[in-house]
Amino acid sequence: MSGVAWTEYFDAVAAGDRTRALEVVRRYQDAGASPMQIMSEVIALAQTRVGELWAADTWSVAQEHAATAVSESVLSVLGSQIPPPADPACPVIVTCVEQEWHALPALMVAEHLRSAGIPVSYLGANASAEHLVRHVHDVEARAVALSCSLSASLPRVRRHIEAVTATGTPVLVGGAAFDPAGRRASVLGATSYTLSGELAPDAVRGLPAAVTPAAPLTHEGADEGFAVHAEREAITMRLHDRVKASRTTYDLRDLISGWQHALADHLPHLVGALAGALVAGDRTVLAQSVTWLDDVMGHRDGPDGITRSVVAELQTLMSEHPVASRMLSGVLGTARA
Amino acid sequence: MTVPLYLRDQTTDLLVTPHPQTPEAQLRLGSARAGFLARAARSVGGSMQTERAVELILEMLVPEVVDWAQVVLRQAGQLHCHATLAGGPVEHATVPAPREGSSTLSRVMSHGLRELSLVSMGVGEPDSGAIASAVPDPGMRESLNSIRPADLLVIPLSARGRGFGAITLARRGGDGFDEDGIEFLEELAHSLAVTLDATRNLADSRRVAGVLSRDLAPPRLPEMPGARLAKYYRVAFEHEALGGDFYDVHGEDDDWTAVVGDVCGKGAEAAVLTGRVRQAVRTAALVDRSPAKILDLVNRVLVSEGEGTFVTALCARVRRTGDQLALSVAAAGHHPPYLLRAGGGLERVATEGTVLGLFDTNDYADAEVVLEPGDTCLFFTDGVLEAPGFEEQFGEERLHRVLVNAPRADVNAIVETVAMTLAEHVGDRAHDDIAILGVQNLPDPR
Repeated sequence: MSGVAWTEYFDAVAAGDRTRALEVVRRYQDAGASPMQIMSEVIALAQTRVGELWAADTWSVAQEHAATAVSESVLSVLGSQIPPPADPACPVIVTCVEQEWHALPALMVAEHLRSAGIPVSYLGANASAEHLVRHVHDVEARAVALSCSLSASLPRVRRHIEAVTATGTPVLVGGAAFDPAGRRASVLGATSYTLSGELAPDAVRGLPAAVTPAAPLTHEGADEGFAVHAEREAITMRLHDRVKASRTTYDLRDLISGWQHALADHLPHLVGALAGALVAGDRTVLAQSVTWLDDVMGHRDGPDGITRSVVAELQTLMSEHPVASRMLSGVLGTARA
Repeated sequence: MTVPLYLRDQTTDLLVTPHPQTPEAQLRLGSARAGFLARAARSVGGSMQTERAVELILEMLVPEVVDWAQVVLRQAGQLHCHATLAGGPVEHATVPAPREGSSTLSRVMSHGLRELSLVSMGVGEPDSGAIASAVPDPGMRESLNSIRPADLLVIPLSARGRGFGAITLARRGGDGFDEDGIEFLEELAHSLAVTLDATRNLADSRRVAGVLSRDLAPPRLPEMPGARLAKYYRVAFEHEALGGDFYDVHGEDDDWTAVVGDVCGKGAEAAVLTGRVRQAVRTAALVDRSPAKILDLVNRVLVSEGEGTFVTALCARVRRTGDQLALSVAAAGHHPPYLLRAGGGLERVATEGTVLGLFDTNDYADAEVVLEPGDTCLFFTDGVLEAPGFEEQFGEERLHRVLVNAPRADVNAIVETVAMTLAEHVGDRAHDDIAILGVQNLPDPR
């Protein structure tokens, strides 16, 4: 398969064209590519591009969804070609953390596990902790593989880890919300961490049969993280009001560039990332979110210093949360814009 | 790259009685033992899987307390043996249960009394007869012999006056068990037995509940040629996994029935009624295909049962005519469905009727609509419009906005877009049951 195979596939998903995407995949299969190869070398790369376009605010959520829906449907066609493991007992539950809809990475992990002969129970996107624990008991799961793509979901990851390890079941985590060294995963109490779907089967084989409940989080700021997570909607609203109030003059550029709209869309991510950074004990979570906001503002012709003023306003809202406040001023010190 | 993130706790020796026995030393040992008991109860208590609970017990005992341990559980004429040696994996074996009283194990289980046997004097071979009597599996005996134990301690696992298993413990050559240590281990075994008994019981009830609720859980959607179906289903009581909203799709390839509804109430009680309503719809659909007639029949059944509880529902008959899907839709006290045209239009199907189960009336009528290729019909329950948010309910206006902007190409993407916006709106707030069912005429019928 050539290195540019994914671009052809990307064009099809970008057009939301399921039939064409399936045609592209069939062509590679006829040329001898295995379902696993197509998954990692075509679909995964195309979806990475889709994610980039969405993150850069070039694509709307609707566009991203149409494209991802096509890939999910292609993936289920490919998955149906992988023979199921002989013994379906004690499967690994594969799922996304609650309120995450980026099912594709989890779907890929599921297919990688199946193709390695490991039975899988795929729970899909947006599984609540209660639902997950129930399912753990119902299928007598050997382990739970939990995918998390957004740093704002890290507090929920912790809740899921607490709930699942309390049943003695090990938890493997992975996804874009974690750092490559697995430090955040370790702080959150995960049993193990995998950097990619391809490595998930090895990670599952290396898991212990049973684990003790995750130890309580004791690092500085963890409690603040859960408080910010619980209050995120109110904090976001107040932050938005403050940012709007701090700008008294508007020029024509403000009206046509749409940066205000993009900013409103991104504030929940920023507040969520602050909660995630505190719970995972890692300020780079926040720094990455600020850089992302900065990029989006750059693309949308946002006014000079807008990112800095947003972060500064958020800091004033954190007067009762000293660790959060320190973290924000640290990030402010290194912010570009 | 894979990073193992778990580590074993390091603690003090719980079986060594302090010398001299100062109050401080005794207090220290006592509090370490209490801590261990609490930790053991917490670790094992959450597991509803017997096998996993046993693994956890063994992992806690070895090597922190002893050097070798075996847990035996008796079930249906067999002994399930699990054992581990310090530094090794947990081994499993199943052997036939011995005749009553014929071995140390069966004696301990039936009498409910622990036994301490001296298996080696430190010189010559250990007493193989005594070991075989407590450790039925040859492989486990081998691992036990490798630590050349002096004593073998067998403690019964019993709850509710019935012995159902035993824990066998050994320490490395030279170290035995003193009376004080044995008392601690008996207390530990007792608390583990109560937990294990509950786990075993719970596993049985869960299995029964699972069988009974299988028919009440939301069904998988069937494949219908030329059409694509998508659903979203979320219950208010997540831990019960059952709710009062329901959907169902059944019938022939080119002429089928879809139903979405909402039973008054939540949780398992409501789910029992949804099962009856779904069954009534299936039966009625065999008698008459018209949705209005189906709703009339179901209403009569529910009213005759006179339980005073009501149900709202949408029922649709779907037929293929050429590249079109023809829908007949009838409503009973339920919000009408929406049509999402492939070209971007959003329409509401005009249909209404009385809720099911309360009145002996029949005002149900079929509304006829046509789905051109790429068009979607979306059915949903009240839980969508009434979903609580930070400031207000989700509401019809917001649903319209989401639907107008949703991608039209794939019904899965439409349903997921609504579900996603809804989940974001609700956050961690308590919500009602929610069901959404989308029926799409395939944009590219083959």
